[in-house]
Formats: sequence, structure tokens, C-alpha cells
Amino acid sequence: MNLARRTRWPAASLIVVIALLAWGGIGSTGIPASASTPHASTSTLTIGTTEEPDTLNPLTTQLVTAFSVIAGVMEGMIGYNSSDHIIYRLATGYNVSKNGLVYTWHLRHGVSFQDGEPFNAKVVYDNWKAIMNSKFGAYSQQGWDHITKIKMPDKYTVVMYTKQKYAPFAYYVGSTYLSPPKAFQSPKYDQQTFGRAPVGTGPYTFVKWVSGQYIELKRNPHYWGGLAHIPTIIYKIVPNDNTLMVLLKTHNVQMTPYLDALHYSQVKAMPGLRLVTKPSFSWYHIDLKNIGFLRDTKVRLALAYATPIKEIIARILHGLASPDPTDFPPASPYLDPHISIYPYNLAKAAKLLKSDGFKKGPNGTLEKGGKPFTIEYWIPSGEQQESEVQQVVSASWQKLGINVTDHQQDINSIWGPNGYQFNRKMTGGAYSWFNSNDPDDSFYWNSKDIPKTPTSSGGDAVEYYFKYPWQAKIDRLTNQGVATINPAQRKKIYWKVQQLLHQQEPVVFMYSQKNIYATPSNMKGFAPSAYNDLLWNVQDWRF
Amino acid sequence: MNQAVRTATEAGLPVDETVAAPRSHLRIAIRRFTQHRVAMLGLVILAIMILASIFAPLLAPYGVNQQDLFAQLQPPSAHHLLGTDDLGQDVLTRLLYGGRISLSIGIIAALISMVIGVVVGALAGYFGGILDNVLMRFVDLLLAFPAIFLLLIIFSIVPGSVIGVIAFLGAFGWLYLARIIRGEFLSIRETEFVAAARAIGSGGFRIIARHMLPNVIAPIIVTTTLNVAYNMIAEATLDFLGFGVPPSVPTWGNMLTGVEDYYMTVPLLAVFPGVTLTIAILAINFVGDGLRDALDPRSTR
Amino acid sequence: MGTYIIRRLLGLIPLLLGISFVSFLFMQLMPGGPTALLARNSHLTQQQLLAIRHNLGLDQPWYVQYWKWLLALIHGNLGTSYIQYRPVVNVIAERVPNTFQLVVAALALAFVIALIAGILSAVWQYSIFDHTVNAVSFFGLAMPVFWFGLMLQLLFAVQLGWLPPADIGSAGLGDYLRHLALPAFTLAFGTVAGWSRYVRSSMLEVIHQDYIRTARSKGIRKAAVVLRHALKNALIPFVTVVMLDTPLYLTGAVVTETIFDWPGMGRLFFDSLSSRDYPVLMGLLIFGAVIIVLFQVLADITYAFLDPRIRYS
Repeated sequence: MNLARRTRWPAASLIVVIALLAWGGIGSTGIPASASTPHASTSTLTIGTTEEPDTLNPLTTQLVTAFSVIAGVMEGMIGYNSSDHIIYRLATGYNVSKNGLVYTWHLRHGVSFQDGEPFNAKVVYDNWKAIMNSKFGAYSQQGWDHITKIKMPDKYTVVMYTKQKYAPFAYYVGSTYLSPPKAFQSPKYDQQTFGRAPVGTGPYTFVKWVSGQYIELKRNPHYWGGLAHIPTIIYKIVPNDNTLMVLLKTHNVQMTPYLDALHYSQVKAMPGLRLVTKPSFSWYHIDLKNIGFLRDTKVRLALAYATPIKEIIARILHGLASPDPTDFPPASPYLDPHISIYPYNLAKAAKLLKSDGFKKGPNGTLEKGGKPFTIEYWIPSGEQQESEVQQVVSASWQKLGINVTDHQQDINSIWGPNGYQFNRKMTGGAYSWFNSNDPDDSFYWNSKDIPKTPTSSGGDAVEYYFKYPWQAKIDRLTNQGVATINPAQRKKIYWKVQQLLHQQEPVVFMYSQKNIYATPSNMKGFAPSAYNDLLWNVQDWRF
Repeated sequence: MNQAVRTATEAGLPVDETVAAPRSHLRIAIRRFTQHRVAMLGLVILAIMILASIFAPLLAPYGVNQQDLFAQLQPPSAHHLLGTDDLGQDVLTRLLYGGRISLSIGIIAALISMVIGVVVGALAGYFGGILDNVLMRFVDLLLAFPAIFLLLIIFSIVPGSVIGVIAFLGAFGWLYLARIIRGEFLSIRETEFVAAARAIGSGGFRIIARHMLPNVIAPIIVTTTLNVAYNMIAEATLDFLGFGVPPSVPTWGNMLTGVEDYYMTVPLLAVFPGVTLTIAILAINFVGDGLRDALDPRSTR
Repeated sequence: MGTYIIRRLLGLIPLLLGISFVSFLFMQLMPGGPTALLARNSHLTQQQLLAIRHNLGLDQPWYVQYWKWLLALIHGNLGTSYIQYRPVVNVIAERVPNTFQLVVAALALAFVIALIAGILSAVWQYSIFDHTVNAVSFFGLAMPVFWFGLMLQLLFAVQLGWLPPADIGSAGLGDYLRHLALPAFTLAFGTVAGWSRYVRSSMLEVIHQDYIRTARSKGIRKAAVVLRHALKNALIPFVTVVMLDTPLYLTGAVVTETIFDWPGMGRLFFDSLSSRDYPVLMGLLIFGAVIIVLFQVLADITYAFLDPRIRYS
């Protein structure tokens, strides 16, 4: 095309500029090797997830996705295998004094961190100091806050003196991933540096973390437990659910933990993959704010009878969950098997409400004393499965004549100061909480966990932390539960807790979803469970 | 000088500029529009869609939220002409009701943008000077300001409501229109009409309303029409990003995004709302094109 | 010309101040700061939380925070990300090349196709070619980007397996280009639609009467001259439009980047917004504003070069 002379130079220069920009863009980073995912092969395992860890510092994160990675790099004194039996990692054993207040840990000899620093009793001591240092901002001091002093009679023995009997002590303190001393130089250093490049004693060493893309681990040649089989592990972050499925299908991603039930059949049909299903510790429920009509036990029971849990499990979750009538899911050793979920019975629910004084108002909505029964039902946005559950429950409650409005909001707003927890409306918020190997569910029910000052996110709604009429009883039981060391006796106490919760139904207990893992069919040694983090035995995995 | 005046002058007819502009121009425009086959097609399609939405309660075979968990993800059949979704709800029913919300959001938001855009553009263009400068800098600021930003703010205060979506779309859709109107006003301002009207003693508002606005009707109508289409796509994109209306209230946009997890296994679920949305947008674009051709005196055919 | 450029660039400063100030203000309005998720943690005490907020500097009044941020900016320091605990400059710099490459590839593709399609449509007005292009453009404008991208991905990556489904390619230029193909094409498609119609109508404005008349009376060669003249006139506003549109894609390609897992600035922007990572957000806004103004200046310069009638004093 012949351009007039005047336009030739500018047009050409424009093209050249564009070309230069493009070239410069490509050239400035080379072919961006650092920004792209290394090729998959049998020497590499690529694990795909939709949620990126916020930090890899075990003391300042609470995300499962973060612990999945941390478990491959760091270790605690003890761990649990998939039968919920203790395995000894950095400790070779521990004993408890007769009065149950003194714990003596025997540490493993000859272990060093991946940066060469030796592991010894002082490390445990330093970890304790950092956790208890409020300037540090550690998320959980649970267990460690019972320690009054630590003595180190020798390099490999740690003696912890505690102030009162606390049954889950060994679990919490023993399972904490231990950081090397350099992580505690200063709070700022720890968060900025250590959280982005963790160092531990575990079977894999951290290599790099390319933000928003992947985390790379390679096997630690000096691991005390022997060399792992798979040389490299890539923990790949794929924010979009659908894209993750696509990558699974094209084998760019080989393993995915915690799949949604709705993807089950889809992944099952993909060749080369095997699905592993295990019970979990999660208990999905609808939190009911203690305000208005929701303070009546009868109303809460009515809602429970109006929630079609078995149908939801069968149809929405494709059978990949178990009904869970309390905060102790089926995987818990302290489960009371005599309690079963309230069956779906709209007639009974309607009768309960009627006996509580509710009548149908002019426009069909239930009301009591002239006040209509309106519930806002909130869930975090972006969750297809939970959204389906919401719609089913919502439609069912509406059949009773309750005016239910569905709401979805992104996760940072929903838990923020403007979140539903802090408005004055009757709300139901649905999400999962988690139980653990060694339960301490005081947080959920015990009045001592009611904040005395406005909460962290800035809200201050009394209704959210209203004391139940049966508060004294639950306080007594939960306190006893953690103070009783004998497992058989403890079980009895927790059975009482569960019975009380079932009678009062402070929240609508629903189900415990199974953990679904997709893994390459030719991989051996993969043995996940609710009792440990994903990479707990990664050194045993092999193709 | 606009076309009508020129024609009238050529024909030797007396010219009263406050009258010559609207009436015969409108008739010409209508005739040209009706001759534009594609635009007429678009109009017909649009009319069908609007009517179907209005009469949704009569046409829909099922309730909007009528779930049937034993009939999930069914392909089209005699019972469900377009099949069912993940909760067993009838797709056809939801498409009909969805049209109500989608079209309403598109139209109302576009009207809001139109009002704001005209007001801002007219003020800037008529008064010029400092007001013009300030307003246009403000427009520049908003253009440089990624709209996504306001998204989260609005949606954390009024989460996932139709009102929130309309507010957001209306608040950002007026920028181009304001610029166009301002440009036109700046040039018309110096014409003989306005000078003459001022000489007679007409006030500013009267001048704007009677002399200047009629000349910008064309870009207003065209831009607003195309804005409706843009709003509908934007609403779908909002749903994709996790904002927008909750799934129990169907819109074509959230019907499309709400089945994202089923794209690979039940692609038909996405096809129906997707095709409907695309056809609606196409129809609006056709109409917009036709309007542009019909109302623009400069286009030759 | 030189003074004009300088004046425009100086105009950046009040714009940046304005944007940053308004943004900062808005971010205070946004409920749920970066520590919102901490509220859910069962074991965090009030004191610990205050410590974290103090570490991040969030306990100071907003105007103090803004002032500090401004001072740091003047020294070239964009601060530290709340979420990643790294300098904001690093966080953004990592993503810039990726977005850049994607956008340049997509828009260059769109530019060439739109130019050719638009010119030919104008010259062969009302022909089958014209109508086909018109129809395809309409589809490009009518289809939501995410749907188009998802369908492309399903078709070419999953069903046919011709191209990789997502991510950036690392094994050499060929692999890189193969990974770039789908996202670039997705981005280009919507753009081509609008641009080709623009080129077509620009061309038509100029050439119609004269070209037809000349072609009919004086033959092809003279008509070609008219065509060239028309092209020059049509090119000017088109190039300007391209320049003005380009910066919008830098932070605006969120949807494409999400579907194809492309680690670009659009996604960074959205993620920072969701996680309330204020320093990164502010950094991106500043960066975006600078780019927009730069491109506006570039557009003006190009316009001046191409149009002999325009001279800036």
C-alpha cells in the first residue's frame, strides 16, 4: 500500500515503536522463565489450588492452603497419621507428670534446618517466646499460653510447666510447626522475609514463590527421615474453578485437594486421575444471630426441621457429605453416635412456629406480635456449591411463610465491619467451622470467649455474642472437657456437650463435607485424612 | 445549518428555525429507519423480547424458583422445553423472568446515564470557560479511574442488589455522552441561531432546550441505545467477577455465569442464556445503527 | 511542540494528586480493611490484632497515612504490600511485562485486522464482504468477553487440544507464542469489532462521493490516488483512537487474565481490591494514570505528525 510521503515516516515510526515496545516487553524479562510454570513431568508433581496462601509463616496464617505447603517444609514435635495415631517427628517421645501439669519432651538428635542451623531445645524455647510475644502478632497461642516456664536440662530435652490441666495441650503445642531462630529476629523481619521464604526441618525445601502463580519446593537431601521420592513439587495457583478443571483435564495439573462435590463426576471421567474421598473435620452450618425471633429455641428448631439436609446431601453434594447434628463431625473420635440430624418435616416446623405464637400475616409472611419474620441469609460469594445449598434452604424456609432474602458478598466485606454480623437484622450466615483431632470447642460456645471490647473488625454487636439461657451449663461442660485428661471420661463430657447442642440448636447444624482429592492414578503413598495437612507424608509419595 | 432548514430553504419555503427542525426531520428519520432492513429486524426482535418479559408470568410454565431436585440438569424435553438447571428449575421460565431484570437494568441505567450526560455536557458546552474546564477535568479523572474500583465500594454497601448494579452502571455510563454533547454545544453555540435567539432576549435555559438540544437528539438517542447493550454485557461481566444479583433472582447474565462450573459437562445450560443475551445485544446494536443512519443528516445512502 | 508536551506532562501532577487523593478517600470508605479476615480467627486476642494493625500503620488517621504515602512516593517509594509483605514496586513490576505482551499482541493483531477489514469494507461497500465483516463485528461487540474466551478455551484447548489452555509458556519462544494465542485472540476479537467499524465509517466519510465519481470517470489510477488520500485522512483519527484505547486494557483485561490464568496487572488489580491491599492498589492507580496520560500525549503527537494542518504553539 503506497502511503503519501508525508505519512510514511510517522506511520513507519509508529509501527517501529509498537514493535520495539513488544520486543522490549518480551526482551526485558527474557522469555519470562521466572514467571511461568515449569513443565510437568514425572520428576515434578503439580498440585493445583484456587486459593493462594497469604503467607507461609505457620504462626501468622490460618489458611488450610498455606498449611498444605508448610507441612512439606516444616515440622512440629509430633504429627498424626491418617488413623489419628501420633507419629513422632522432631520429638522422639514425651511424658506427662502425674499431676498432668509438667510435660517433658525428648527431642530428636542430629536434625538441622534447611539453612544449616541445628535443631535443639533452644529452638522450642524461642518459638514459645515468639508466640507469646504480643508484638509479634502470632495468630494462635493455644496451648502455649498454658506454659508458665520452660526448662532445658540438656540440648535435647524440653520441660514445660503448665498452670492448669489442659487435655489438648500436647496436640496444640506438639503440632505447631517450629521455625528456626532467625525467623524471630524482629516482627517485621519475620513477616516480610520468613513468610515469603520459609525454612524448616522438613522433607522439602522452599525454592521460590511467584506471586499469583505458583510455589516451588524441591526435596531436602539432608532430611532426617530420608530422601523424598519426587524431586520437585509445584503448588500452582489457579484462581478460576473452571480453569482448574481444564488444567486437570489437560494434565497441566496432576493433583487437586478439596474438590467441590459438584466436580466429582467431572473429574472421575478424566483419564489418568484417581479420586480419594475422606471424612473431614469441617461442620457446615447456618449461624443464627441471637436477635429477635432467633432467640427462641422453638424457632431455631423449626428452622432445623425446615432444612432438607438429607436431600441436599444426596442431590447437591452427590452423597459426598455426612449429616452432622453437632460440631463434632463423624471423623471426630469424640462423636456421640446416638444423636441424629433432625429429619425434614415442614409440618412439624410449622406447628412449632404456631405454638410459639406465629401467625400468617396479610401478605402471607409469618408474623408475631405484628412483627414480620424476615431473615437475611448470607454466604461468601464465588462458591457455586454453597450457592446452590443457599437457594434450596431459602426456598424451603420460605414455604413456612418466612421472608428469606439471599445475599452473597465477597469474603473481605462479609467479615468486615459492615458485614452482616454487625447489623441489627435477623440473619443466618452459612459457612464451615472446623473441629480437630483434640477438640476444644470452647471458642464456639463458652462465654469466656465473648470479646470484652469491640472486635477486631471494628464492629460491636452484642447480639452476635449474646449469652444463651443455658450458658452456665455449656460453660461448665466445655471447661470440664479440656480439663479432663482421661479420654474415656472426656468422651462422656463431650457427649453431654453434643446432646445439649442438639437440644438447643444454637445454629442450624447441617453436614460435614468429605474431603475429595484428585491424584494421578499412578501415584503411590498418598494417604490424606482430616487428621493432618496435605503434605504430611509427602516424602512417601512416588510415581 | 441542519438538513431540514436547508431543504426548506432550497424549496423556497419560509424558515422558522424553532419549528423547522423537529417535525419534518422526525418524519424523514422515521422513514429512513423503516427502510433500514437490519434495524427493523432488530426492532422486531427487541419488541418480542420486551413483550415476552412483560408477559412472563403468563408465558412461563413454572415458577421462577420452583426447584425440583430430582430433575437436575435435564436436557430439553417435553416437560422442560429448554431443560433444567442445577436445581431443577425450568430454564425457559428463568429466561423469561431473567429478561425482565436484564432489560430493566440495561434500560434504566442507560436512562440515568443519559440524564447525567446531557446535563453535564450541556452545562459544560453552553457556559464554556471555567465550568467547562472543571467538568471536563472531572470527566478525565473518572475516565482514568478504573471503574472496578467503585465496584467493590458500592457492592460492599449495597451488596448484590439490582439497585446497586443499576447505580454502578449509571454512574459510569455518562462520560462519553457528556463529551459528545459538550463538543456539539461548543460548536453550535457560535452559530447564528443562538446569536439570534440571544438577540431576541431568550434566556439560557430556553436557548439550550429549544435550539441546541434538538440538534443533539441524534447522538443522545444513539449513544443511549448502544449504552443499553453495553450495560447488559457489563451486568454479565459483573456476575462473572462475583458481584451482581444473587442467583435466586435470574438475569441473563447470572444465568450465564452461574453455570460456569458446568460448562464442560452440560454446555447447553450456558448456550441458552448466552445466545439470548447475544441476540438481544445484536438487536439493540442493529437498532442503534439504524437510528444513527436515520438521524444523522450527514450520512449518505 | 516541545512546550506542549511539557505542559501536558506537567498536567500529570494535579491528575495524579487528584486520583490518589480520591482513591485514598474511597479506600477508607471500603469496609473491611486488610485485617478483616483476622476477625474470624478464633484465637486472636484484641491485643494481638492491634499489634498487627500497628505494624501495618493502619491505626493512624487516614490523612496521616495519605501524607506519609505521598512523601514516600516523591522519594520513589511506593510502599510495601500488606498482603505479600514485599515492595509494591516489585509486585507491580513482575506483572507489567506480562500484561504488556498480552495487550500489545492483542491490539497489534486487532489493529492490522481492523485496518484491512475496515478499508476493504469501505471500498467494497454493501458487498458480501462488507456484510460479512459487519455481521462478525456485531458478534464481537455483542458477546461478553468471558463467554467468548471460555468457549475458545473449551474448543481449542480441551476438545481439540491444539493449544494450551492457560498460563504463560516457558519453554522457548514457540511455546510462549502458543500460550499467548488464545488470550490474545480473545482480547483482540472484541476490539477488532469496534475498530473495523470505526475505520469503515471514517473512510466512508471521505471517500464515498469523490472516489466513486473519480473511479467512474477517470479510471482506476486516479481513483487510487483518491483512495490513498482518503486513507491518510481516515488513519489519523483511527490511530488516535487506538492510542486512547490501549491504556484501558492494561488494568481492564481482568476477565481474560482470569480465564487463561495469565498473571497480569488486571488480575493484580482485582485481587488487591478484593484483599484490600491498599499500597498495591495505589501503586497501580498511579501507574495506570501515568500510562493513560502518556498515551494521550502520544496520540496528540501522532495526530500532529500525520495531520499537516495541526500545529501546536
